[in-house]
Amino acid sequence: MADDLQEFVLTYFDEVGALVERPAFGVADVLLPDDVAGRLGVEPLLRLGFSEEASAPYPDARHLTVGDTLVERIEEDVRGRGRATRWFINEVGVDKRNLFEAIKQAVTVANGWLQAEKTANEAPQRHYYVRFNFKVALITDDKQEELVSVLMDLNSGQPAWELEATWERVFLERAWRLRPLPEAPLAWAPTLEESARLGVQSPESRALTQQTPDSASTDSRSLSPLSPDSLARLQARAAEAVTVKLAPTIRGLEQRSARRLELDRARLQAFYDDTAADLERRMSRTEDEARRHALAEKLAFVNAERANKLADVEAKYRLRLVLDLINAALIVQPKLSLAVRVENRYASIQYPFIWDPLLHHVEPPVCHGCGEAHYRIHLCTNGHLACDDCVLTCDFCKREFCKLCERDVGACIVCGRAVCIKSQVRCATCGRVTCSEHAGQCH
Amino acid sequence: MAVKSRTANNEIALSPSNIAVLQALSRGAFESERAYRLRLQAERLSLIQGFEELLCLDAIDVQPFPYQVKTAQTALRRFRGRGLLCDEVGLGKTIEAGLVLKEYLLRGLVHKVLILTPPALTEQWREELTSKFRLDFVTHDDPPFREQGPGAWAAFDRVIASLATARRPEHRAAIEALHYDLVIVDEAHHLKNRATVTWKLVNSLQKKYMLLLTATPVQNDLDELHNLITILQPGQLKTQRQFKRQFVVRGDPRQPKNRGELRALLADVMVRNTRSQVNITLPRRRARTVRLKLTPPEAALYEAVSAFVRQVLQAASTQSGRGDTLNKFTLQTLQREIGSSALAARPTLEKLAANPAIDPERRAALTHLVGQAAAIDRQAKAEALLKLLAASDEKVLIFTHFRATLDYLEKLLRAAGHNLVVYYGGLTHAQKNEAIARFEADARILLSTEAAGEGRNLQFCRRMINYDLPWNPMRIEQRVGRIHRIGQTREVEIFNLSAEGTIEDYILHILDTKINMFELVIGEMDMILGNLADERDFEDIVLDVWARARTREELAAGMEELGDALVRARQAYQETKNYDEALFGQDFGAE
Repeated sequence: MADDLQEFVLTYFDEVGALVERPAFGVADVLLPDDVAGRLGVEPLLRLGFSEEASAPYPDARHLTVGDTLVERIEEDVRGRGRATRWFINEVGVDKRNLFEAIKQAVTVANGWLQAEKTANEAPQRHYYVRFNFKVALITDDKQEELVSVLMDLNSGQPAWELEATWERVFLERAWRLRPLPEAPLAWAPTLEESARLGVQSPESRALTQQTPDSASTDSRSLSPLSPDSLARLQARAAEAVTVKLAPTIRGLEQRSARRLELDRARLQAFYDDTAADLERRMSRTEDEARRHALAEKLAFVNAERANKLADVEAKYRLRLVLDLINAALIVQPKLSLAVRVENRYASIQYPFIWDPLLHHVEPPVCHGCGEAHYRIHLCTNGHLACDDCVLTCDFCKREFCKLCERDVGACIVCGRAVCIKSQVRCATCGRVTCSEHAGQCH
Repeated sequence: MAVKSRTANNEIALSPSNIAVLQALSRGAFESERAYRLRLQAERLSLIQGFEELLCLDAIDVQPFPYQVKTAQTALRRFRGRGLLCDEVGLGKTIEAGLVLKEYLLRGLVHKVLILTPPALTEQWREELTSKFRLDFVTHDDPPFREQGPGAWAAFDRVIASLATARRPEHRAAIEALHYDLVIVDEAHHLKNRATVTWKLVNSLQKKYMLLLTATPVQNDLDELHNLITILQPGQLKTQRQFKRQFVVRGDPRQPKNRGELRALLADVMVRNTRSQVNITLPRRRARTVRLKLTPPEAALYEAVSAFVRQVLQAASTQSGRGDTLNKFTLQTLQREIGSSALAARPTLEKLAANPAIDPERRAALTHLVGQAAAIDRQAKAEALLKLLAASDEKVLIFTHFRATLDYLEKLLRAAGHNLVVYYGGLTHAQKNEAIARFEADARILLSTEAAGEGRNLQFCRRMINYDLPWNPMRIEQRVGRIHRIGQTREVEIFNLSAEGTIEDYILHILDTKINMFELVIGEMDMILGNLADERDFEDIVLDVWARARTREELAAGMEELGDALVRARQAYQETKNYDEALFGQDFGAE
């Protein structure tokens, strides 16, 4: 902690233009600019010690610890800035031979194929990552905080786990050294309202909708990547990624809270069960109607009290996560895009596949149903991409639909099998849908 | 690649302030990498970890003892915020509760707090929370609170209220409808009987955490313990019937059985530090009364002012009061001032004499009293003080309640060549620090009002003189506590200047001779007063005895009766204390 504090304080002084000399290990003489000294409420010339041992030979040194007024003032000053920064990844080659072949090798279209577009060329684009730094408060009847960083690919909407794993080796620069490149569009879905309709809206997205009310009706793919809306949507996904990162901690807390809750519940239930049983026994023994009535009232009161006390303990142990975004960094990197046709018997679309020259791989396409990226995809009859989990198949014609198109797939009223809009038979009398085998048997 | 929420059953909230960061990104308001990293470092340094390390210790103005910190940690970690703090009297349960409260507030786990105390302690709690924990609370007596009526309970998040106020039907309904994060009940032995409205109120409160504070959890029988614990953790000691069967000797409700099992159950909710356990022993303290006779003009003035006060009070009590501004509080203040010095009473007399709202006849009497006060040239107590100071050259702390008396004594003592510093509420923080530093360094005398050294370490001094005596024994105890505290190694000497025939003389007789107040442990007086059947403040009781007495004999008899009541209260307290010691011993210290 003392080392962290020393690094923090001296970096701060450096940042604000102070002169620092180190007469000994763990001791620093600091000459502050007058305005900074005024802001911090100290004399411009300071002698600071960062440990008791180091300060001992210097009686005039101020021994700094966490919680010291000076440290608190520095923290306050620092909190007023440093919200955002930007880095560039320049050291990558933005060309790739036989990119189409690489795409074909990486991506599987389960119900179709990939076809090169004759007119399409590999196009370098500017892609973005955002590194979100959250202070996460995990609150039950106790509270602990953690700093959690997640790196999100802004264009694909996915956590960049792989890049994050190699983050320390990535060469980040403060300036863009390549030629100007067009900005890559967002490729991710669903939008918030799609999520809500599909019933996959997370609490994070709900919180986000409340944070940015004007965003509810906008399709994220039509947004500018750096618009507040797209960043807010990405933040919601980053929040989910935080829960993945903290899964062991969360699981531990949940288990601990659940155990405590169970014990408290058991104690309360036993107490109120016994109390109620005692009252009932007394009720059954008495022949005095007024007394019986009084006992019945008491019993009702005991049961109401039981409900209140149980609600109290449940509220006490419920786990809440509060994510405070400390700051964020934008990382800009060139990538190659190649438009490729995705086809099957029923549909054909053009999809821009991405080659990442830093990680040397083709990025997985994004499912239009759930917004997650997968190398194995399906082409929906209506031209959407869908992952295995988001596909609905007609049991009769074997056409596939994604979750966005679920209204095109019904169930036969007689046999219950999935039947799509192309294969169904609608009864002229009752209007209900059946498969062709059960046509006319609906009523 | 897939991101799936692992916390489907839990609530996740994005802080509203996050938008500022997103906007900075969107606007391209990028700052240096160093500023970015510094911000992260600042947050890393202030991360909240488990309760092993208390955050509050850096954010309070009191240096708690290790056992107090341990107790707070026990309440936070082992009791999960629901505990019975039963330290012996004088070991600082308020400090322990304050640590828990501050810790929860700093961690953002607590927002809405209710502190319930006996009526006489609401102000003391507020003072301590402000001066030691930097926490502002409103009390139910504050005008802003009263103005809002029952809605005030919801409007204010940090409230100190008396149990008596909270249980009144109009307040009770409002309190029961709210959800509190933390409820603290001081002198929780008032919850010993589950048939009372007080018990029912506290039991029905919706709360996340709860601390019950009492030095005497059991006063008469073990049922009381069951009732207390049931409020905290229903079922911890099972139902009342099961508790009796399992843990109480048949036919003797005071005698426990299955002690081991009972102890294990209690240890989950109760902590009790004893003086011998925490190794806190203080040197003896000795009180000496310096009885003196007022000079004839002083005695005449005292009698005249007293007669005036008594007459107005008696008139008010027989409904023949004239409805002017001479309320009981003003009269009590006047009587206390004249007990201090003629100089202290004079400004009040002048103000009242000039007040057109007061009956002309009374104003004439008051004007006469002003003249009498102005004519006093010799002060017997001041002379006695000079003699006392001349008898020894040790450092001494002199207390007076009134600024006018303090100003007079300052002049007098300086004129007599004494090296002194003054200390009163109107000084700035820096001036107060300087005064204490000078007293420690070279000044012989610290002349001070009640404001003296709340929380200051004055243990380097072992002598104090009460130039005037507060009517409230708790105030006297606070004065003594300035020098008779941990760190004091020498015997403490307390000199009380007492003028014959004054109220203060009677009070001193009761407190010193009857119940040996000056030899009690700090905090015990509070327990004794709590055992008085009369719920009024002690000073109100004293004033009533004073006002009712028509003759000196009646006064002596009334005061004697009050003294006897205090003796009985002390005996009752002692019996309870012995019982609790026998019952709990040293088994429940904080770990």
